[in-house]
Amino acid sequence: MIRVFALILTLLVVACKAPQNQESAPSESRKIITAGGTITEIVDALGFGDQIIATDITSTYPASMQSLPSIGYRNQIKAEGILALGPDLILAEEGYLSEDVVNQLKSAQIEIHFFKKPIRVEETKKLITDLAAFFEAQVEGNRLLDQLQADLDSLQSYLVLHTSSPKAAFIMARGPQTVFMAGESTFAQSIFELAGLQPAASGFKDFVPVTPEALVTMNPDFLVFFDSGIESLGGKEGLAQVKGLSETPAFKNGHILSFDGHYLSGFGPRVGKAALELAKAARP
Amino acid sequence: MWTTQPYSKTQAQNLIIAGLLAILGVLALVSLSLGAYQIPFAQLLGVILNGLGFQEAAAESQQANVLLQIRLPRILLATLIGGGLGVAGASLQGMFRNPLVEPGLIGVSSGSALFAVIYLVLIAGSTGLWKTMSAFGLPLFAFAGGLIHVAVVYRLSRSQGKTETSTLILAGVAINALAGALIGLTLFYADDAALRSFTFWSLGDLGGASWTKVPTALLLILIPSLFLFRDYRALNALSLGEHEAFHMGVNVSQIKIKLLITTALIVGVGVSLAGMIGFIGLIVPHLIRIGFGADHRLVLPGAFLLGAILMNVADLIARLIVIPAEMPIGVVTALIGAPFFIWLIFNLNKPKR
Amino acid sequence: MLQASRIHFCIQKRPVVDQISLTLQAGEILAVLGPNGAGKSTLFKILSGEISCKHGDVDYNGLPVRNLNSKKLAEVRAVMPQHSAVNFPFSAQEVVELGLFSTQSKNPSRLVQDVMEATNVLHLKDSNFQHLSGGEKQRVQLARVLVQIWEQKPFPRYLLLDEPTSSLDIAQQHGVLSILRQLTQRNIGVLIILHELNLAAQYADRIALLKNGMITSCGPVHEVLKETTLHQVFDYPIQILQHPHHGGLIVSTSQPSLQKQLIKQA
Repeated sequence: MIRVFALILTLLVVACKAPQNQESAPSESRKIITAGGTITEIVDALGFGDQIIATDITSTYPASMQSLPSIGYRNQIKAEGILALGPDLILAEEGYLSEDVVNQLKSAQIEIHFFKKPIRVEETKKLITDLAAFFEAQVEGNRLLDQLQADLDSLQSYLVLHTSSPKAAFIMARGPQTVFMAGESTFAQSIFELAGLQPAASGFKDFVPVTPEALVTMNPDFLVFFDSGIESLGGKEGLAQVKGLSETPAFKNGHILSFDGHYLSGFGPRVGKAALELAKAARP
Repeated sequence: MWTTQPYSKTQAQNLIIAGLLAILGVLALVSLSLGAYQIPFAQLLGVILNGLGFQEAAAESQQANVLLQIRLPRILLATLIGGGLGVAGASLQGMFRNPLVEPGLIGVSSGSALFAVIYLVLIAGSTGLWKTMSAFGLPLFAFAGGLIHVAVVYRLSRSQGKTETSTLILAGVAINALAGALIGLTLFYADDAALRSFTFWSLGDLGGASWTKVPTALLLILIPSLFLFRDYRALNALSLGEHEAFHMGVNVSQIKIKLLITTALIVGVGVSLAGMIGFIGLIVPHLIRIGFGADHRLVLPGAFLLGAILMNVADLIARLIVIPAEMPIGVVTALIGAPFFIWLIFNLNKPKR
Repeated sequence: MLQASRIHFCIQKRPVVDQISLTLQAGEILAVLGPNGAGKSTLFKILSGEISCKHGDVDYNGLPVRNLNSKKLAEVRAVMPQHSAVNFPFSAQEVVELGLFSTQSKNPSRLVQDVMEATNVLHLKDSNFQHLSGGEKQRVQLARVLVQIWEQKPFPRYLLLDEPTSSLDIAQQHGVLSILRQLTQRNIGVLIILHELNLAAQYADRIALLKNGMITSCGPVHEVLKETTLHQVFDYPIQILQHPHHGGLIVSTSQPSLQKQLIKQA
């Protein structure tokens, strides 16, 4: 009995020693937490990167974001973890945080705004515009939009000169047991179309597990991966072990492309550059 | 009230209940003050007193919000669900006359989870009336699933009026496998945004606790549990066997139906609110019996209180061990419960004298 | 009076209990004997209300058993099974107290104590039931069953026992049966299935002999225990002897030829 009391007392004392919450900062400098790599990148590009105090795992660009405290990933993110970091503002992708957590954050009366994750260039432009408006930094926003347009123009000029339309399939891999291919309505289809590539996948939406025959039937000229995906399969050599990949002509010809995950799929300000890089890589 | 020793046994039992209540109260207080979000104890008291109307609000409102909107409902939910699992486990063990039975083993939990997942798929994308109804619709649908599953397991394991233990466990394993497969299948085809992840259902998670879930738990877990407490005499009699209980005057089929329905309700609702959390229904009745005897007058409420205590302890560990993330609570209860289960089986085979 | 009239029970078209009628009065012990497969257990279950029988009636004090719910039935009759397992660590006293379920006793502690004394298990009251020996468990169960009908009531009660002496030693067997004899003075009628013919001869008032689902013979002990009847029922030569000192009936199954051989070898 005495031990129980001692334990409780110890716990209470520990709780008492916790640091006081900091006083709220002046309104010009906020403490922002972002959830979603594209939002993080745009907020930083608009010039407010130093106000970000923590981000999620997918916020990998710019690299400085990776040294900030992480709040976790999607459903694993908990409200108390976010609140413990003392933010004034949360900017999140729609559907990124679980509904319960959103409700809890709202009832904790913390300011939280949601933005749709872009999977098309038009949506990228809209997101930049919306965020710029939110921060009342339209000048910076327009600069980003102009830069993006310039990238897209370069892409267009390239594609005019190179009219071939190789077929490409995007493979999402998280280890040899978890290999999926992207269908319609995914970022993969959008970026392929942007880069003038023909998506090999058709007739299905979202991601489905790779079946050996299906991939061979689709007959892509190029297989596209995330860097992390190829790594999880054990590099290019490891691809030979995955049934369905090794039989494709793309594999046999060594037409394997891989890019940083966020760069390729984020549809952020650098999407034009990413599409151009992809377009060039697919026309060696 | 039929008891032989005029005061000592009943009083001793009441004292134990009071003691468990006290431990639960202290634990709730400790649990309130700990978490990823630091709240100094002085502030904690201030918020509580303010909430009770005794004191002006001095603490920062965000601290009050974390405490009152996130932590307090969470602790209440842990108490109610843990307590429900405890008393449901005790009732099922009494009914099947088998100390190895727990709701997870015999398919109630997985059946409830399956139906909950199906319900979410069915109402996915719907708005308005369906959405608000889901506060009660989801738990009740889960209850139906749990009930169907336990009825099937029960039916499978009966032969010639006896419930064979080995058949019972095998039937439970089979139904669990089926339900698990169907859950996986449903989640595979469902729209991602409409469902919580598979880990929520299979490992449990109290992190989504909010005040909207508490009334459901109060109505559909606490009240049925109180009803179960009243059946201690029949459960005591059932411990001797169904025929013997009949001879003693128990309406056996009636009590069995009542027990099955009530435990399926309690467990089904608990699963719909927090996913499948195992081992609590197995461990706590045992601890009560080992410590204080097998009389269900004590075992039933004792299992409720000890279940609430254990669930809060597990949730505290889940919240503190990997800050700012959380461990799924089912992992914690499994880490505590599985070794206990093994010890239990080992002990059952030892010679009695 | 416990009355069974022309009860008939078939399993897969074969009659297991074949048009049996019998009565049990309060204050008497009726022993039911017969070889294995005679239908004793089925008859027992029908009489106790565990199995409902479509043909024939079973009445307790004039009330048909199918009209009595389990609680009402428990007030008028108690049943001691042959085996019963307890899977939880109840104390012996807690097991006995289970018998209080259907009673509305004004002094339950006194009642339990009296019964436990009468069955000689009072000294075991705090022991874990699961740790008792076979004989001790049997007596505790008997105490539980007796608690149900021990208290005096304006109507007769009945106690049905199915081979309660199977795991008891000689002294314990006689102990239990003498308790049953005492019960007859409490307005209780006792029906007991026995295998041991001599126990029946010594303690029963009436005997019913069962063979192939039918009652071959039923009546006072000295009328039923006849050598020819017993030979026919048990398919084995049986002798009835008289005790040299007190004149009671002794049933012997030993054969002269076997004894002669033993004497020759000695």
